[in-house]
Amino acid sequence: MIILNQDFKTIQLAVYTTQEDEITWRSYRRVLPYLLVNQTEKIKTKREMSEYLENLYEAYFSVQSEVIGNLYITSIILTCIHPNFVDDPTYFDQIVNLFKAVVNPKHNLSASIFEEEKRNLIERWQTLKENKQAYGFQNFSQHFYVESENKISVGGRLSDVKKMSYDSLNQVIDAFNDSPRSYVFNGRFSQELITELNSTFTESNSNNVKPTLVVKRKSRTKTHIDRLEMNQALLYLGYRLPILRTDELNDAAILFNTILGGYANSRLFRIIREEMGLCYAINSIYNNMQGSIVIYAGVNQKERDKSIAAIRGVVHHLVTAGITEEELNEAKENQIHSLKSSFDMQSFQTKRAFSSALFPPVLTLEKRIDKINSVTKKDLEVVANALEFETLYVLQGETDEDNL
Amino acid sequence: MKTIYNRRFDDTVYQIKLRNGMQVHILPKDKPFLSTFVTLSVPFGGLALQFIVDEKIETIPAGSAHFFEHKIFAMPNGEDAFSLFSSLGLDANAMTSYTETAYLFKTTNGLLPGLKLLLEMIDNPHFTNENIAVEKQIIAEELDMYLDDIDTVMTNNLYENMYHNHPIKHDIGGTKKSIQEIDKETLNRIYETFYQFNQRILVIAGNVDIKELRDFFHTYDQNNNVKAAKFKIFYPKEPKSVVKKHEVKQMPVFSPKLMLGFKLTSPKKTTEAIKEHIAAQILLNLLFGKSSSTYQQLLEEKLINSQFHCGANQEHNAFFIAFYAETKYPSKLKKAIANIIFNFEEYISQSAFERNKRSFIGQFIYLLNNVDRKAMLYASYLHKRIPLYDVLDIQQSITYEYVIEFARKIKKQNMASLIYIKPKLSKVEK
Repeated sequence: MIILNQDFKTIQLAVYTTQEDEITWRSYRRVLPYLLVNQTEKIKTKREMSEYLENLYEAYFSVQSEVIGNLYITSIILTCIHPNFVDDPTYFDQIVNLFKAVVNPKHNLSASIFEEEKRNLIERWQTLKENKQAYGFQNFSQHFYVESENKISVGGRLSDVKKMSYDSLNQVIDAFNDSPRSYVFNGRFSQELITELNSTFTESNSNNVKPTLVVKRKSRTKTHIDRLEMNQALLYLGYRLPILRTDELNDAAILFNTILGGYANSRLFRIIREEMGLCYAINSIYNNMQGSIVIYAGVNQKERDKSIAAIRGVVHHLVTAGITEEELNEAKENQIHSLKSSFDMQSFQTKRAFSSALFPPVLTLEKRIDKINSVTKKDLEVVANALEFETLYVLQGETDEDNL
Repeated sequence: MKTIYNRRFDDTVYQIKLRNGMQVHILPKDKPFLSTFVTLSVPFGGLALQFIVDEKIETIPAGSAHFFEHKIFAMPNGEDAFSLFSSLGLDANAMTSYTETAYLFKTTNGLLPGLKLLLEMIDNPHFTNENIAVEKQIIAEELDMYLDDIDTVMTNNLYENMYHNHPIKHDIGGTKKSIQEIDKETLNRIYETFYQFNQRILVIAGNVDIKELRDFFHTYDQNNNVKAAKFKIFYPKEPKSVVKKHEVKQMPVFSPKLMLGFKLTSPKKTTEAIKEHIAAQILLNLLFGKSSSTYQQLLEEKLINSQFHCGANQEHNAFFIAFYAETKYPSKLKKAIANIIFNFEEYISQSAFERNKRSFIGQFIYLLNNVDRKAMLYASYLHKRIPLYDVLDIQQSITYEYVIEFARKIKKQNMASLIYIKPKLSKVEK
């Protein structure tokens, strides 16, 4: 159990459960937290739960499912205002009891809530094409992670969702209840509140859980175009970068990505957007759980080929000509700023408390800053040389310019 | 420097009014808080398309405020302020709403250099035909990006169908055509008119050294003491009717969608307008919120799905409530929504109203917990001459009877407009 005694006006109670990832169970595991936060043994319907939360001064649940290496992680967080703002002396007890009931589910959850949430998931799948950026990314992943489970969404496939049955739910609840769990409580707690939390929640086996990360497999270079009725061309360029969060070069890879397309003065932003005027949105994202960098840009369809060539040119130049000391220092400043400001955000703190424990040793802010500052130009050269282009995916409207 | 302490929320605000007219508001948060958020804003946004100076009406193209926001980052020495913010290790951004433009940055180690750069940028505009031409390309891509977003397209369409003359019918970013009309003169005229010192509000929230800031602004004020000219944003008269009551369109969507708006007249007095806006939100929550019986009923009848939502908007005197739903039964749903609104007495209760008031207090505290959002809203209400903490008092002054009276107003004015989007198979998918 981690208690972060921080001076916020709100309190967060969070639980993180970890299970071995299994593709066939992803859809159930994705839907389960949505079922849990909408009912308890005493609160039978979604409407009753909404009323209950409104009465608790708009307390709210947030849930997340993610795959980290071989682990499937489910988090449930209840956020409420600090009891000092409320006249009711039972307020915190009500919050604690609600959270306890939600994260320790019994069998026989409501079948109608299950059907409703299942329907919601199916509808989101069916309308994915309307969110072009997300649809594009989903399709890109199918090509980029071709021989990996990463190509399958954290919520499973549409066919898996459709097959979900209420009868299997108790098995999923049992697995959830038996899985190792970590609690994180974040807020301004009196000794009395800490005692209450300690006596109510017990962790299980959470210290032994550590994910195994594997770099995405190599695949041959390929290009794929999909078409929808749309104005822009969305470009996704996938690069393999075999450096993971657990590797020595992780900070160097983060800084490399920052310089490439990770912030507002990155090479891609400056050259492709500001100098060439080819796009409004452009960025690159480094995934240190899978070992990849993905560049995204929304460009004018007529400028598609010019944009692709320009983006690849920026990457090529960065790899071959290297970076300047000034760029590296600016990227470090940027990363240190992001890190420090994240320490002011309650939700980041809560999440970090859990994820740092997954990847020991847990470092203080000062140590993290020292690590970033110790990265050299030479380190970035090693990172640059490890970068391999693999996949170009384009989602665009109709145009005569079909061949890439 | 004036100090105001709010006991209820344990918050202190320091206020400095500079001789040049600019207001500075400091909302400190003690260590171990590490970051500081800064927003400099002016009450000039997408709605300001016509304005009166020296008794003459001047017109600027749609999208001008947003274009200006992009282009002010060009510095006189040819550098880009965005890059300069980054080189200081700061996280900068800007945004244009219907009624405001704001320039923001967040820092953990360079507040004073960041403030100096921000004020230097705002004080020294540098527009050239070349930098304007490149910006037109970038903004055209931004507009295309939004045109690919069905919700944005539908929302703009609904506004066009509700408003005859009010500038809310124009997208904040303008159109690819309207931005072509923007030139150096447009941007200079905007600067002279809307960016005067007495229009600017600077809010600094988070980790600060008050003495250091007082000294900084003392020096800045000595260097920048200018008289301001007067102007007024002109809003054409808006008829009490909608442009189109009903429109059906085919678009490349995969599930049919509906937007339904009820146009309303807005009170002239700001406090009263804010009160009605909050009353509208309370009413919608009572009638269509997830804890309402009607929401559940609409779900059970399969007239809506989980994507259903509604809200009240108030942008200057454009005031309306709007509903969004994915539905196969637009006429039935419209009838059902109208029936609930027009027979509201059957669906609301004093106890639900009290619960809603509690919920608003919670939302207000969440807001105060987030330094960035708090600073933004603080500035936004200040442009309307309302202190942020007064908003909670306004909300708490709303009675059950007041909400009922407001519901009667919707029924009486009955100015509804519906847009329904039917799926069409695009050529590439046939």
